[in-house]
Amino acid sequence: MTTEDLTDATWVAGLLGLCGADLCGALVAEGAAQRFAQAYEQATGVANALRIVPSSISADTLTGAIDLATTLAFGKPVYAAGLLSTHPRLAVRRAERLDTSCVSLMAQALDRQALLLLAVINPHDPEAALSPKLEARLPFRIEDHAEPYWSQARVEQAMRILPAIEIDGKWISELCSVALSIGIESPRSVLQAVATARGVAALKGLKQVDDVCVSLAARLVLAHRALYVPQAEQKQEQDEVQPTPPSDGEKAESDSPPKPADAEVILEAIKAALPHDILQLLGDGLGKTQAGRNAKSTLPRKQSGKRGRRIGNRRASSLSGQRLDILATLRNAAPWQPLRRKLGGSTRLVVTRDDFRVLRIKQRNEATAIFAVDASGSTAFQRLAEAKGAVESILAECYVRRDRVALVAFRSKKAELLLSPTRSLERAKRALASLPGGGGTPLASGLDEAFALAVNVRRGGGNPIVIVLTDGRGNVTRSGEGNKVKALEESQGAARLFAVEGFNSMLIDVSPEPQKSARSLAATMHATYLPMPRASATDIARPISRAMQAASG
Amino acid sequence: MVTAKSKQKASAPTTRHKSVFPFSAIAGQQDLKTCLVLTAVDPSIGGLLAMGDRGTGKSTTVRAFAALLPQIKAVRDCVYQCDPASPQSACDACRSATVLKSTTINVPVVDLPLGATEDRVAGALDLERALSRGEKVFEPGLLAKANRGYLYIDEVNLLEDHLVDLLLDVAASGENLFEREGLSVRHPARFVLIGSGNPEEGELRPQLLDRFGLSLEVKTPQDVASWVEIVKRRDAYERDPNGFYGQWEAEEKKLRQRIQAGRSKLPEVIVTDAIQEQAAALCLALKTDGLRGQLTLIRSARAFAAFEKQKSVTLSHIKRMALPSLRHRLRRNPLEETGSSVRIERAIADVLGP
Repeated sequence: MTTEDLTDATWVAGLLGLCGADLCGALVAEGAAQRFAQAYEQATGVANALRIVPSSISADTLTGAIDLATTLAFGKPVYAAGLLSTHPRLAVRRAERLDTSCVSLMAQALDRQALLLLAVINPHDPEAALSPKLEARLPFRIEDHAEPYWSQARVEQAMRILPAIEIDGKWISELCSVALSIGIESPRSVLQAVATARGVAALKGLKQVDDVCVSLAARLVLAHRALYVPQAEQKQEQDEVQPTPPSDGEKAESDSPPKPADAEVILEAIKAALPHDILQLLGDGLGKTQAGRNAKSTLPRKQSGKRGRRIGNRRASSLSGQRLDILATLRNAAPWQPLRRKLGGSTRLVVTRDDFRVLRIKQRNEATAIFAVDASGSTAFQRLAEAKGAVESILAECYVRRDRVALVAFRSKKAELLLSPTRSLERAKRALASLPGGGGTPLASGLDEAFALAVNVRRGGGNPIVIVLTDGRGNVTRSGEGNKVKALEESQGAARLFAVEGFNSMLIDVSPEPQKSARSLAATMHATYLPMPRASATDIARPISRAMQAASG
Repeated sequence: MVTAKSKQKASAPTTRHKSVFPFSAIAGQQDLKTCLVLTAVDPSIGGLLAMGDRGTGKSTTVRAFAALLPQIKAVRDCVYQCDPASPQSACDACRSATVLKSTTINVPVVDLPLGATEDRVAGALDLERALSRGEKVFEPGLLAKANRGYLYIDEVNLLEDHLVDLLLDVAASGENLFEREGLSVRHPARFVLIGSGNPEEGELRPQLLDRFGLSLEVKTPQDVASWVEIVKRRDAYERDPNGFYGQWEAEEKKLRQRIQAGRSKLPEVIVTDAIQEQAAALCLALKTDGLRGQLTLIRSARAFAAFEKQKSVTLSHIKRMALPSLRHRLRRNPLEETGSSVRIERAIADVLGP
């Protein structure tokens, strides 16, 4: 086998074996992970070079912390070193679930080039998005199979020649201009491509980086980040075919950014002066009524989180990830000391398992407002503008209260998640402004999408509030057919799920006259129904405010 | 349970295995660099907030800046690195001591990791002594480590609210009051807060926004030439960190001396009443909240004049510093379409003339 026939994954295995933490690591698809790890370990010549860790790993395990059991046994503090210093080659399963502190620590380690990270994710799960902080730092994506091609001897030979490998300045310029033309965000990627090109040359035994090395590096590092060239994505899959070198200039020509599809209808958002604290009211008021209506609360609330304000302590027989309240533990142990010393014949402090008290911590239950906006033709265009205005006002409130917002739009044949939950006002505004209108009303799909999102938010410990803006006249089925009767049936079915799960929800009827269809949909959803009359923004405000008061009273 | 001490011990071997990328060699980011330098010339400007996309080199710049700063004198063996020359701002131990031995240290630059616990930030009960000797002793946290230096928070917009509150209190008062776990400790914690983050990931609370003296929007340049320069320099550095640092050492030294010269010149820089009035007129025209904006504007303009080796603050200094001093203080309506920068530029043209 010559180096020409190697798969991308095989190359990356060799490159990471060669450069290690200098190239940070890769994002690996679940199915490809095992073979990739084998190929990598063969290249390094070390069995079990990678330490496989679960995504539930704690920050303490990474940085090191006091080893409580040993500390108590020996009566003096014993510290366990963290994985980042003892074993800086990690493979993390389900890496999208890493918590923010671990992500932060890993990102810092990657910046220092002191960690090699393989982030394993499931490529078919749309929810499995790796934290952008890590995603931006990992140069490679592995989806195909890696061959155990590189031997340790070969990699070591490459290591010897690597420091002397030159790269012509023109390649750097080429890589920069290609990167800019395909919409790459940061020069960091180019830097990684340069290092990759050098590594490729070293693995091939060349003295200098040539065009083949540069184009391979561009394919491995830059192609998957391209915003404007969708073809580049496919190239990754074609391993056998000699790719056209992306750095040849011809690519740059074809890379004009596509016209944004959102230019269909340009609407000006009208400010609807919705009452202040609309979400607060929704959260409090509906929460109460829901609790009464829906006795079987669906999900257990998180009792004690890991971070937040401390609100006390409680007894615990095992610590399993919880934080020890030292003072309370010692206070508990204190009265027994004379007795225990006598019994154990020891002169030091005797702390037993029964003394353990762990901190009770109150975690903020953050609200996420999920807007499901009907952008179909039946929602007359001017109503869409008002709906957008209403959403904007609520966004402003969310911004002040640091809630998260998400945006689902449905029109024509399907529903689309325009904005996954975010706290960024800027992104929300942008998503909203570029929301096009027109086409049929796939109401059921829209509700499904909002429902799935709400379930996810709740699963993550958040508190979802669903706000549907529609006229309730669905005419497109889930499968995208225009069938009014079936569409109605499906949307009622979808609405029922909201009631079953007991989500806080609200339906704003955006049709010129209040619609029966919308009202019955709201009833099925157990949602607060708010008609938006044909009137000024202040007139819209009044019924909402009344409904809010009713809901909270 | 984690104490600050255990963290230090565990992470010690992994810190800085290469010499730092030189501050002068950072291509582009001129605004960020200038503002960082000004916080060193006059720490009372009150910190810096740099918001921008991922991968714009914010963190790199701040970390490089740490290495550039001139060293300071501190009391030997003092955990708060108190200044031997000013006992009034020292910790209790240093104040009551009769003889203070001093030593030279690097300006502390402390990274506040996103998931940090309150214990780690504010301090906690010293576990070692509590367990082994049954003594209640305070174990200082990151705030103590940052005293007289810089506290850097990457992704400050994602920081948890209770930590934000804590930082606000300490940043405002210059001391950390610890009242927990049966301990009552008060220690100096005067630091320059540097925050960075990506606005796409969330907004910063207005209260915290106002605490930062200067604010910047950091962008990646979008032209090939700048990218090539960035990549080439960084590549050269990664291949031979020490050699690369050697090439820039003279530049670094020059800048360090300029900062020191600016510091000593700062008290002599004159701010005339006319300039004060014009700064006030600008702030009034922009309807900035409170006086903090005007104060920062004058301070940063003065620091800028001192850094430029000038005797008095001129209108051009005010114009130069208006944007970073006031940008984050205008936000009245979060949905306002016109960017703050545009509004300030307009106001500068209207009030101060072209």
